[in-house]
Amino acid sequence: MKIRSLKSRRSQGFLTENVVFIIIAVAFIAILFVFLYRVSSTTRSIEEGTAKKIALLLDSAKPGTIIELNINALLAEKASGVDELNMISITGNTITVKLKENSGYSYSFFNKIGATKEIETLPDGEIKMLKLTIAEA
Amino acid sequence: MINLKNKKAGERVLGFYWMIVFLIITVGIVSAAVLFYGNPLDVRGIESRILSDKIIECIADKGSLNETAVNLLNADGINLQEVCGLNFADNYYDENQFYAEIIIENGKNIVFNKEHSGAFKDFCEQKSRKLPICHKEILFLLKGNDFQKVSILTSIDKTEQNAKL
Repeated sequence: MKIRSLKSRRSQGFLTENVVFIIIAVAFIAILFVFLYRVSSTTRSIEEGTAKKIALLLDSAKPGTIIELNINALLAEKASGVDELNMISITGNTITVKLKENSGYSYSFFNKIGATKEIETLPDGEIKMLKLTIAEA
Repeated sequence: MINLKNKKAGERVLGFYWMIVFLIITVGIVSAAVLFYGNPLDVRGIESRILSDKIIECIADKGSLNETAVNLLNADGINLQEVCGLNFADNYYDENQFYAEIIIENGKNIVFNKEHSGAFKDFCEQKSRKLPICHKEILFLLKGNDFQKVSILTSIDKTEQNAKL
């Protein structure tokens, strides 16, 4: 009887230790993932990445080209005070992406072109596209 | 009894080692993420390729040397932007961030931003994010019945926006 209770107490201790260890490990991994998500999706990095990618598209575009970009990820990050159409602006040969009032990133492109922009919603109503029509400058 | 005690102590030590392994992995992942995302996105390599393509489109026409465009271009490349439909203006920088060199064998040499060639061309062989990024292209274009070797070198600085200084 005594041996059995000793055994059960020992196995209980073993179980508790393992459960605690697993909880700590899961918490550790969860914190790590949250950190990675936050580091990779800051407003600044989204603005910079978008501005540079659009600049590259404009650099290689020819007059008459139509570029369509899914902007749902940008809209999710955008502050309520910023207008949908004005979060991406093209002035001269500089593209500016501004998702929050006190932020914004500008990058220039070297292709001598002009671009007009409009926002379109796909028939499913969920995906919004930024449509850039390239014309001669 | 001694054996049981040893086993328990062994498990504790193993748990401690597990924690150390976790810690090392975490430090590794965190520092890699900080290093990767802490640096700006460097697009100069692609930009210099696109610039090179734009110049090729300008001086070549269906595999032949576009002599009209080449004749229009000045040796100092001052009208390269005008002839090839480019715009190197950039409000972010005071100085020109572009360098382009078109060398036509037994023909014209056109160098844009020649006065600063040392700041661009000299660093082409060196691989560093803090230096301008170059792209070299060699092509053979028809001129009459002969092939003409054309070398194009483009280089883009824009270090402040593309590399952590």
